[in-house]
Amino acid sequence: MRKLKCVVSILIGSLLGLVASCSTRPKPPPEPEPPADKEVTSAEETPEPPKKQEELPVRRPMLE
Amino acid sequence: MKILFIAAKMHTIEPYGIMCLSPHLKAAGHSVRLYEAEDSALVDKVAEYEPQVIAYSVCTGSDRYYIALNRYLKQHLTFVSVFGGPHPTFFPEMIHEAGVDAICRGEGDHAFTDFCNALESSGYLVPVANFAIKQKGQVERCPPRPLIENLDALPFPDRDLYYTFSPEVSAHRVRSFLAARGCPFKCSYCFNPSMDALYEGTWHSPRIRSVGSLVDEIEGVAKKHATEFVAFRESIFPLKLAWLEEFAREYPARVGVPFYCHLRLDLLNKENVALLAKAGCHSVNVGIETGNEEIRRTLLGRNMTNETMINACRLLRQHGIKILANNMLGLPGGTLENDIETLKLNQRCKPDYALAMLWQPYPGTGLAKYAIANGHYKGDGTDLDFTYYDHSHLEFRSAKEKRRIENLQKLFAPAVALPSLTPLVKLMTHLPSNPIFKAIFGTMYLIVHQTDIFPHKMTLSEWGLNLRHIAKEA
Repeated sequence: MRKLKCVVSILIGSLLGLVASCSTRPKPPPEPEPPADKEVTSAEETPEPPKKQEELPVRRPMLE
Repeated sequence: MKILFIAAKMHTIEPYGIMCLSPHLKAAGHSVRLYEAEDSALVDKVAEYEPQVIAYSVCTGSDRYYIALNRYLKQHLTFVSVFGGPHPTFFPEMIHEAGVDAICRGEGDHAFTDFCNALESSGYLVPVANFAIKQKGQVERCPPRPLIENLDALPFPDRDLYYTFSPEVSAHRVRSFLAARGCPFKCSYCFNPSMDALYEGTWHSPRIRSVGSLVDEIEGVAKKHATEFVAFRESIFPLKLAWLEEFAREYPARVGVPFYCHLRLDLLNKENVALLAKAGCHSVNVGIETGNEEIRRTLLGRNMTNETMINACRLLRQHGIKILANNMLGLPGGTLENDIETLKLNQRCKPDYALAMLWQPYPGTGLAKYAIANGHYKGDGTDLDFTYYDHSHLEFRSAKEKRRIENLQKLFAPAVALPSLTPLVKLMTHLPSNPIFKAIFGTMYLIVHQTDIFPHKMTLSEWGLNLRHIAKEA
């Protein structure tokens, strides 16, 4: 039984591996670098910066 | 106070640490929830719940993920972040990471509740035993409190917390339990020696639950949630004869579900293996780790011979107990020839599944220190991934040898199950890394785990989902 399971695993695994190989798409060409001074205008492109550690609610009441 | 645990994609193994903390928090009057990290609506859900504390249980390798997730959440919400689990326990310098407010080292059962109680009553981050906190860039650390001696005094883990938010895990009929904490051995690749150092030499004496408490818990879970299989997850399942005799009487009578546990081959004898079989032990997880006796003794700190392991495996097989053998390929300073020795020893031990992983230099372990000191590992630990089944992070004699070791790891289990494949497998290790090897590894892992090691029913749809996942990951 152990050997049978091994053979089945090899067969199914090879098939899955082949499928994975065939479905691997080539990576798209890299997009050109944006100019360094490009102004970002949309909200989606300007993620809110993480709060600095000092801004965390420490040593002050935080459970109002 | 509202406390939220966030865990990465929930698989079939319950997050035992989180489940252990929850009942203490609830008993102290706190509200506790658990959300899945990869939930696309996570931020909205967290914002709606408005937790004062968000807690993560973190292993090394997943630390970068949780730190990034925490930073992301802190962009949108205000809360205190607490990190616990193995990574902050062994790398307390994690407290210096941006966004990390507090870490809990070691056993958090009482410590986390104390921390939350103090936070709620004072409104401030208060350092309590086991914790390090960070305020305005200044870190305050407290030493760990003594280990909890009587595990029976602890409440049972809160499975409802997990099952409520992850119904698919509830539907999975394999349930995890812990019979003990601690390990007396000092394997150089394991976390246990570091725990022993943290707890000043008290961790190595295993604390074992009473049979009554353990079986009460399992019986209760099995009555509430359909249970086909029980998995004991402690480092080494208790093997004291008196304990085992009582367990072999109580467990089959009150639960009677087949179980899996972790064992050490040099601790096995006719008496304890017979009692394990009588209790209903279906499968065991044992470490073979390497086939080279000298490497095993000097590098890994495991003083047992090949013959001991072969005889113990024979004994387990004679009692009808299935064997999952763990192996580590790509050890620091090791060679492909050493890993072929490991393959051959496995062929002699004849486990039902020979699981090979590529050794990872988890910083803080004795073996990682050795790898760094001897130039086998040049990273700083931040390059480690979630998985140890993909590639090695070490330097070998050549890039070709490294690739061959990585390929051997994928084809290890088939070569153990069918020794006649060994010459072919050796030849195949010369090939470039490819999806077929990865898919063979994944498929055999899936099939043998589901049918031999953790036998339980899976629907056709579940099989399909798992196979699709293997193809995607290959």
